[in-house]
Amino acid sequence: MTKEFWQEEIETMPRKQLEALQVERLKKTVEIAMNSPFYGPIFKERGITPESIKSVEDIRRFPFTTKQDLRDNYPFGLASVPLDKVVRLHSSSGTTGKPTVILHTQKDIEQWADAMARSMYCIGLRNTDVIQNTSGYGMFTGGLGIQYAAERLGALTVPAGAGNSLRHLKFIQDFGTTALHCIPSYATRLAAVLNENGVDPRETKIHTLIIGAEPHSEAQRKRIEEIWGAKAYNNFGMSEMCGPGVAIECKEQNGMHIWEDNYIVEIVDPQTLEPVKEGELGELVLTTLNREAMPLFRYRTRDLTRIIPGDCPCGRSHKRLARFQGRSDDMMIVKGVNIYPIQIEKVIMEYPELTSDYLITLDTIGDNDEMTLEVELVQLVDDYAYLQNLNKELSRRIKDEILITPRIKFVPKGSIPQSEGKAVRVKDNRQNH
Amino acid sequence: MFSIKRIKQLSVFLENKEGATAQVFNILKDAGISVSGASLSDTADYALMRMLVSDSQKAQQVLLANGINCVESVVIGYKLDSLEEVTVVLNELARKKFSINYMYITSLGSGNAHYMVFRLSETDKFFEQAARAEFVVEDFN
Ligand SMILES: [Zn+2]
Repeated sequence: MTKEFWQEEIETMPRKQLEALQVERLKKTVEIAMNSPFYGPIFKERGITPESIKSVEDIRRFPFTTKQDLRDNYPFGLASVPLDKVVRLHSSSGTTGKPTVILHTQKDIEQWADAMARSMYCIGLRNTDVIQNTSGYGMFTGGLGIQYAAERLGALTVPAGAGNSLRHLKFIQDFGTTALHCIPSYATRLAAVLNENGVDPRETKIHTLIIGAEPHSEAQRKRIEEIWGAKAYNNFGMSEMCGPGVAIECKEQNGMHIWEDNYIVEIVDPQTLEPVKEGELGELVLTTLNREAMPLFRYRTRDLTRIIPGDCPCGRSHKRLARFQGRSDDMMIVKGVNIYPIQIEKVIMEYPELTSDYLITLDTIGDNDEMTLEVELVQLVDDYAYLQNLNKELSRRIKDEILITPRIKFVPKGSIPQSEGKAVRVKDNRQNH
Repeated sequence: MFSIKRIKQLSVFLENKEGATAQVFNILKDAGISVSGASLSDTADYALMRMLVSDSQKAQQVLLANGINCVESVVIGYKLDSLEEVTVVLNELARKKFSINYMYITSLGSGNAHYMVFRLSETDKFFEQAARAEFVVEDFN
């Protein structure tokens, strides 16, 4: 019988034992972070010491850490070890303000490689595989993070790097690549390049794609699997936590197991910062348990997700995160209800009569919040009854989703500016907002 | 002789807000497009205004450029010598099992003749039958 787990004991550890391990590692992490110029004074003020940590619940005594904290303390303000112990740094590009830096000791690098190797093993990759990495090898953690992990796994690793699809094609053919690491949109683009060059992606030896670092839908995954004739697994990582290797889907493809021996997972209401009920949507908050150069406590990832309740048939006891539902910064509170644009977007996607672009406008009418939803009709139809039905059905479906009935406005195709950002998708004209 | 016009009509999507209808007429006027007929029934949240204009393609362009949704469709114009004819035509359409989506009466052309304008579910079938019956079918615009 073939082995299913990279580290069976940890991956299938009973919850109670896993929590005990978390407590032990949290204590250790507090001990390390007491040395950091950032956390040291905070811990002192709050009386946080290793001895005072009794259970995982103690995590609520810690303040949240945000990206802004990382910016304000750029570059080394969150270092918990002397810089001579730091062997590498990764940095964000800082396109929206000051950059951020994440530091790694030798042990951090090894732990990270091990976690991602575990993730690779989880989706069936072995030392017999040829893993080609399409991520850039620079400050972005998708390059070196995958490289070290694949080597740790013992796979033949092809550090092809970003761009140059023709070269990727040549490597896939020449080296007999069996697995590809890429962002979902590149999986589609590269497949198109193969086709243009007379190579059917399904005829290559590639049987697995590790996809992540970009939001994508279940439909997109299915399409990728179809065009490649391969399995595609959603992989989650963020440089603040190390990089790729934080969570991955198992073969069940129903949620990503987050490696809880390395992280304490919380899902909180982005407004109140109180924990949501298990299974409800909220912001993912992570605490590192196995890092020493720069541990982070209750780091607000801004990613919206929920915990999938219940046990996974694969036998892993680590919690599963549902597919990410956008960013917590996108949240609006309308008539006291938390609403995320993605909830509306999901409904719009169900209608082939509509394009994927939309605009939400919020107004105050009297004392009430009013929501107007502009959607683009692919083609206006000269039929009042048809439009009325579409209008009614759409507003009913949206009400089912967000508990609020929007006023629907059909606008011509192409009249809503295309954008990813909240600024353009939501226009808040309300007073006191 | 029956005179039947094949008319390119513009259906304009109107929001229920003050000045929405006026805005459409102003945009068309500024673009040098003349309106020879229009029909607007009572509106709830929005309405479809049907319009007969001198240059349907150009009208579409300028309205869409102003973020006003519209679509062109082919409707049938039937020249009325008297209003009693409306009943005759409707009976005839019913006998031939055509169903009418909507209809309105407007004056058209230089002679200001009255036309009954209607849209059928099966416009193509209507024109086929009209041709077979050797009606004179002309393009209006
Ligand atoms: Zn599983």
